[in-house]
Amino acid sequence: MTEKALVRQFVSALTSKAQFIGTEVSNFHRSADIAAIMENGEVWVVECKLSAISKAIEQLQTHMMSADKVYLGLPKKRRNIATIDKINTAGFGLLEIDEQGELCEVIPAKLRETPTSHFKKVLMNNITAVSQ
Amino acid sequence: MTKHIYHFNMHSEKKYFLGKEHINNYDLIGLNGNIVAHSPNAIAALISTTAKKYFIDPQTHIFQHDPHLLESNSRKPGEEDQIKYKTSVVKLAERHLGMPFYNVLQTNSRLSPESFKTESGDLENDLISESCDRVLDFQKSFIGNNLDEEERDLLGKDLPHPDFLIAPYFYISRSNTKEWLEINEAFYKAAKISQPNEQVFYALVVSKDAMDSFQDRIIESLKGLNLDGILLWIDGHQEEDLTSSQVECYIKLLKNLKSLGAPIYNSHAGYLSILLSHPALNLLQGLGHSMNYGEHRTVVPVGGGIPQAYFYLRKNHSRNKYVNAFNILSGKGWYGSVEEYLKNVCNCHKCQELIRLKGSAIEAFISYGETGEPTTIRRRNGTVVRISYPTGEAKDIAVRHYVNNKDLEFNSLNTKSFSELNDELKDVYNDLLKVADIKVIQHLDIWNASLTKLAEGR
Repeated sequence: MTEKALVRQFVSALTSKAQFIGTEVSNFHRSADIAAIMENGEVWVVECKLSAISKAIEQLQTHMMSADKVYLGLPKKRRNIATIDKINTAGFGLLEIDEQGELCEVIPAKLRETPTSHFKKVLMNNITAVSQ
Repeated sequence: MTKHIYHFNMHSEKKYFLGKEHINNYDLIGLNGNIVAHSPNAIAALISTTAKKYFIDPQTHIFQHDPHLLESNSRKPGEEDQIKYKTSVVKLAERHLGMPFYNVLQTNSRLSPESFKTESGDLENDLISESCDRVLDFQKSFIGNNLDEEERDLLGKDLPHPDFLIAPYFYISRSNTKEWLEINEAFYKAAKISQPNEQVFYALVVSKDAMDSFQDRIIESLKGLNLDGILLWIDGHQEEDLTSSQVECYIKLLKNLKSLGAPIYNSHAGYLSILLSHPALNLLQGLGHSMNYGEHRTVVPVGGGIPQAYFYLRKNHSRNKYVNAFNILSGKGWYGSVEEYLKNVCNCHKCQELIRLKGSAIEAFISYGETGEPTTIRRRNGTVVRISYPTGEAKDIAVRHYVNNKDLEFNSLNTKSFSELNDELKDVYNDLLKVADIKVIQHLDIWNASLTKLAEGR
């Protein structure tokens, strides 16, 4: 499986729960694999990875400035204890998806009190622009 | 007092050199030979308007690297297969430095130590002294010669004159260390003969591993030259990334250089070097940087990377990626009130002005992270990503905030004792440990340990 295919799987699984969803959404100097405005108004960012988890964690730290919840997205059974530790330490969530496209929230993301509504608004604009 | 050097690299940065907001923040302007050669009148006007002291780096070392590195990125249709060197480098070599430097562009082959030797291996003293004369004359007379006529008349005999000249020099790495040191030595001696009434600095441009492995040999080569001054540039020496042993190697180098009795200016220096220039240590007498960059610089250019916002945080004395600064401020609650922000983050003119304009500390801090419309980029592997660059205004205020903070750091050398400043490193490290990524604060702990050892004479 490629990361692109993994992103497609997550988008399919999240679309029904989101008002707007986009891929490669600009957020500062980074491009979020998936960013969505969920039905309840929360802004989520998901970085999908098959490997290089540390890089994803660095990316997610940027997204924490503007998203309410940030997740690492992995194919089912790719996680290991070290990954779980890293995610817990950083305060992210973990989403997994199986081959049938079944989504599982393994570690719930902490709802961040987004420190600034400003950066959240910018990200929301970028999501809506891409999803149209 | 430590001389504060601003490097002038781009004409768009002129505004940070002029005007009452920043004019008193620095002492000396560092100019690169190629920018000087490329836009002589504009540079002459800048020097004349600021009335600041300056020096011109003749950049002779660029001709010892692969000439491919001197090529221009822009080619016209039909020129794709031709070698086209950067116009500024061609002007520098052709009009000012002459042979053997210009020969590199004509033959597409780099200089080696043998370029300055006869077939029997002796130094080509005539070549060295003639090329040395040209390199020094260029530095000495260039600005005065390129002022407009009216200004020249007005200034009469008081034409701008460089604070010091730089002898032709080459980069010292692990390869050919001895051979290049011999050439540098010969050029310095020739420079002193050529300009006996001028201050001539020896540019020591050295790799980190040569500084470590060949330090004794380097110092040995400098002894007996009776140096007027040393302009130091350690390749890619980002002070925040140094290990304890690298910090100690740097300190050892400075102590060794100090024993030569000449002032030492570090061209690309961060806060560690500021502390090392404290009157209590006096290991450095001049320090340089550019406008929100250039506290470290690689000798062979490496480009690229996506431009992103940086925020200088005086607490950790580092240019932080905006997200890292944001996490620290957020974790500590430092943008919750104007008082907290001014006390813990920054009270520089720019931050105070932004707080007044925006109405709160958080809105002021947000201004530093503003980005423009997203840009779509196709990566080499074919994937398409969208990213946002900092706005022009965000970049501008970040530079002004940066230079204000550098000024405050320089001023602290006169208002605080060395032990106070050194203790602050440890205090901040402990204070930020819970909220900051260790990568952005660990240098404080490393610097503190090495400086404590230095202060205790261990």
